[in-house]
Amino acid sequence: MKLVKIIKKEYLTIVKKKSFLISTLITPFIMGAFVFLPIFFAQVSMETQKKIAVIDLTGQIFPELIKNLNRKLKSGKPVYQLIQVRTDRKTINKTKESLRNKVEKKEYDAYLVLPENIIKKREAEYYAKNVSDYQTIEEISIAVTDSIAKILLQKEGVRLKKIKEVMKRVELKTIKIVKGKEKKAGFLSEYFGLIFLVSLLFGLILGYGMTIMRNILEEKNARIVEILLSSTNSFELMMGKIIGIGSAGITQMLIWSLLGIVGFIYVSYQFPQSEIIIFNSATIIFFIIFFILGFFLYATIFAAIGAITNTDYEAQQLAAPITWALVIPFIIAIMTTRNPNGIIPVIFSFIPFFTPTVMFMRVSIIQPPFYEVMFSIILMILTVLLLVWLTAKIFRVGILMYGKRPSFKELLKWIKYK
Amino acid sequence: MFALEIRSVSKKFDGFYAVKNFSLSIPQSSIYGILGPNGAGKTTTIRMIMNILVPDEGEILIFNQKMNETLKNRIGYLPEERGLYRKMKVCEILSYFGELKGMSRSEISKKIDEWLSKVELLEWKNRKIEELSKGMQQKIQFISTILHSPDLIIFDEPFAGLDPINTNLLKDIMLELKKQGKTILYSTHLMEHAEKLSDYVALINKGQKVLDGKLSEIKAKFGKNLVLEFEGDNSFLNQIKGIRRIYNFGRYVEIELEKETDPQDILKTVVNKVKLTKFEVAEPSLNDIFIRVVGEERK
Repeated sequence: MKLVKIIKKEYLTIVKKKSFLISTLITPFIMGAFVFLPIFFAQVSMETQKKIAVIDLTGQIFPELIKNLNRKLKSGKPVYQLIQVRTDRKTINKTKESLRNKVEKKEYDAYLVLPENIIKKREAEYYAKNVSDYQTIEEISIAVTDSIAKILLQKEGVRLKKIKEVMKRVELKTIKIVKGKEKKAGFLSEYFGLIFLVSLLFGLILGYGMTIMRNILEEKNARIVEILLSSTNSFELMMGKIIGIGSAGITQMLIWSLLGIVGFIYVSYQFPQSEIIIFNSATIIFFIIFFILGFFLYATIFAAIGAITNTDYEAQQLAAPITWALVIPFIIAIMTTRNPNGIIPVIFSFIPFFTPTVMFMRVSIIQPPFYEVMFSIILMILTVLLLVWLTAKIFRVGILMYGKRPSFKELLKWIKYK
Repeated sequence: MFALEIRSVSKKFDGFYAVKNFSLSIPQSSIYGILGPNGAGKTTTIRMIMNILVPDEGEILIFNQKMNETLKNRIGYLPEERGLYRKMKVCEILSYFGELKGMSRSEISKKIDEWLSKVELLEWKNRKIEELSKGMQQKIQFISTILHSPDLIIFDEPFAGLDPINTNLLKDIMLELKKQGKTILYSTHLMEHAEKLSDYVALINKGQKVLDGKLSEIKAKFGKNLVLEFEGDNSFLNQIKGIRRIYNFGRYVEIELEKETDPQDILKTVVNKVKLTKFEVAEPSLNDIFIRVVGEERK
């Protein structure tokens, strides 16, 4: 079997390269960083203390507010350092102005004005340079509300102990449902893990696809093609390259998976309580399936580009739109993670060019109906077969053509050649 | 028995005939030269033999079979545009080409050593191609073509770009292969090579065969050439009969004779007119024949 010989040669040529060794070893570090950084950030909070001036025109809320805003930083210091600024109706504008200057000079992070009629109108003012810090705003708003509630209840004569019991907050724990099993997970780690895998899929397909393109260009420029064609035929040559180079990609993935499993075991042993991204086995199987299908789909296109061009520059130019096609799934990634069954993710997951990434995202977040997954895979296989057939025709003529790049019309003519 | 038969083959590119109604039969154990100027259709013909191009009309039989994958193992092909993988080692590239021809590993390593020592490149066996000189790379290309001892060897413009040493080496290889019973087909636009090497030739011009056959027979058919060197007036030349054409260089003259003309008669005439310093009867060169045939066609 000459096909096997070609596969072997193309495979070994890549695997023996230094760049293969380096990328195989470096990527796990980046992979490790992706896994560890969310854990690291979760444990070592980046939060700093906030100094907030409070003008309490009611004169009763501030003491309660201090009690309610008592969350502590990791270092043990309180998150909110509240400073009461005393003023009255006459001096309030002046006070506000001086506080504004202080915020400007960063002496304070913000100042809070609790008007006299706050209990009735339930409106307060929060002045800060950054008003999009939702966590802070939410916490202050809750703390002020709780303080008012406590004051009102106390007025009604409710006992302190009872008030505490009444006001006790309910905490929501987020639990993901996977095939009826329950699993703890946070949106963040889920999202990062997925984006990481999709990037990896994207990188592998693009990287190895480009390798095929360059490989064909090199053979064309070195004038080796004709010698090879005297021993084999153009179809075997093309498939040999695609399969050989693709196998190098799969080898790299297997090495990473192995390192990943070792790393996972180590991490779960070291930090038993940490929230690690857990890729289940289905995710990994789909990763491999979609890599192979996606690789074949894009590799045939890259092979065709390599066959019809003569220089790297020309080839890059033609390859650019393909890179964009691979980027589109990232644009809809957030949409897909929020609602994997939304109309846009569903449509994209059935377009063969996007199936590997979008369907993979859907499969790893929810379990779409089995027929949907199968349908998208069959659609991809059909597309791959069609592309292989078309590319083989273009490849056969293109690899022996030097000089001007063929026009689209000429390509159609090539396809019709017997 | 013919090693290769081309039967009325035509190939058109964009409405223009690159090769038109071309037929050729190559006997086994012979060296066959396809000769013609650049653009005559030699490479197109060879590519059709190799099934790299598919003929629009006609058929090509190699050892009585149409081209197929097993047949490829019996053929060695050195294309006009030839190269090697720059980053591969000499032995790696030769093994790869050998493997693609269906050779076994042990056979390959034996043959590689045999050929590399024959062309004095054995110590370069584990070096990368890019470290080799151009001449050395050409030797590797020859070896890669014949490593698997093919029965039919096809060289497209094999002498183009070769230095005199490699030219001789290749000629020796070709003659050696013929001795082993192999059939060799090659193309060239340099007639001098064909003259010394070929048993058979086909002249091709503008996609069509203008002449083919055994070299000795072709030459006989085209009569003799007469070369004269003399002292004195050359006006006598007009009086000689039975002459096809005269190339006059003053005191050096080349004369193409009609087939039936006897050089002896001319000698008799000339001796009386001038003082001869040289009188030679020679066969016409292929170059002369080609120019004559193509020239006559134009008329």
